[in-house]
Amino acid sequence: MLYIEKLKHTYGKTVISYPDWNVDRGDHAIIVGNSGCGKTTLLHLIAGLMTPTSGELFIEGKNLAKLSRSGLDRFRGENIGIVFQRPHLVRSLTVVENLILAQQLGRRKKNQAKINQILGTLEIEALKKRKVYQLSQGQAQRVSIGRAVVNEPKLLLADEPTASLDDQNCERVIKLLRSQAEVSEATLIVATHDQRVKNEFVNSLSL
Amino acid sequence: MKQKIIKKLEKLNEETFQLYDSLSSLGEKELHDTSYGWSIIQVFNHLKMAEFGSVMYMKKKMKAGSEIPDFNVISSIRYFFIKGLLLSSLKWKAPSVVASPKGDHSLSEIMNEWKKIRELTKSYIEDYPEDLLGKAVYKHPLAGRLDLAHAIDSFILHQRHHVHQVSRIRKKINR
Repeated sequence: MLYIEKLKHTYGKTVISYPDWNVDRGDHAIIVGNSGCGKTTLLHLIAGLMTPTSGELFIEGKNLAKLSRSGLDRFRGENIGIVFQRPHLVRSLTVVENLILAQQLGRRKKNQAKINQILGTLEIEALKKRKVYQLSQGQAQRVSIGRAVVNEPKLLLADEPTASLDDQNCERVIKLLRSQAEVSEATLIVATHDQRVKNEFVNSLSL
Repeated sequence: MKQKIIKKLEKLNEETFQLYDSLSSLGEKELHDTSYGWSIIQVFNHLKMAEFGSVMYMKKKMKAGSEIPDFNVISSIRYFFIKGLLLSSLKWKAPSVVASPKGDHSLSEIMNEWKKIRELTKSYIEDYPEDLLGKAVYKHPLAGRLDLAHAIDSFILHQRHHVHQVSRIRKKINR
């Protein structure tokens, strides 16, 4: 599913070199390391939000560096779901409209039943007509998980999803990510410095 | 990079003239009809004013030079979703910065003013320093900070969004 080889990214004079890594389809994997070591950058490279300085990065056999910007946007919308550190939801839309927007971006037909099912699993169905600025941080994060999985992506990426959560919510979010990934048979990659999450995963890339 | 931005501006220009041409068959009454919210003239005027305000904002911001924040990944993520929103059929409330535009001018008067503004936009792009192209010189009311290329891209999307609005108005007034 994911294969990286001799991957490097440069920020000014700082060069980040990543170890070669392979993640199988359906696998649940983790990228661990301290703040500033390049976890988020690697996740952004995998998501095609940044271009590597050198090296190879293949997803489902596709070399992302070879895609045009619009091709990359399309590939991401159709194949990759991302849970960011901050939710980045569209504030002027309601919870349910944010999920409809994600379906449209993924070139899917509006599927209200699927949205209802996801909101139910995430226990936020009662909030579906609320504007996102009316939500708590935890609620907004669950919406962002819903948005990431609504198109049943082949690859689900999560960047520090538990960073600001207490132990109970941390466990809950990881369970949600894993169960949502299992439902859609997606490959899950979590980037985190959170020690509480580390032992939950077998395939681990340490930076 | 600059050439790509100029190409985007040419696309914007082409679509502005298409809109103008498509409206030239309408009479004054239809252009100024406010029965269904903004009139077509108000929409047209809004687009012109939005471009003028945006270019003036960027001209002012550019004075900060290398102090302007970089256009980063987070900005591009936000833009990705807002771009989707502008192209979608979803209805949403316009940002509070948008005031109701004047509707008492003729179509040709607005177009003549708009042509001058478009020249201003063009010369702004042509004179824009290459080393600041990665800087987030523009602040989009929904997407936040954008670089010049994304700013011009957002002008195109904004215009297309209002072209749909004009089509809806025309349907309602049977024109």
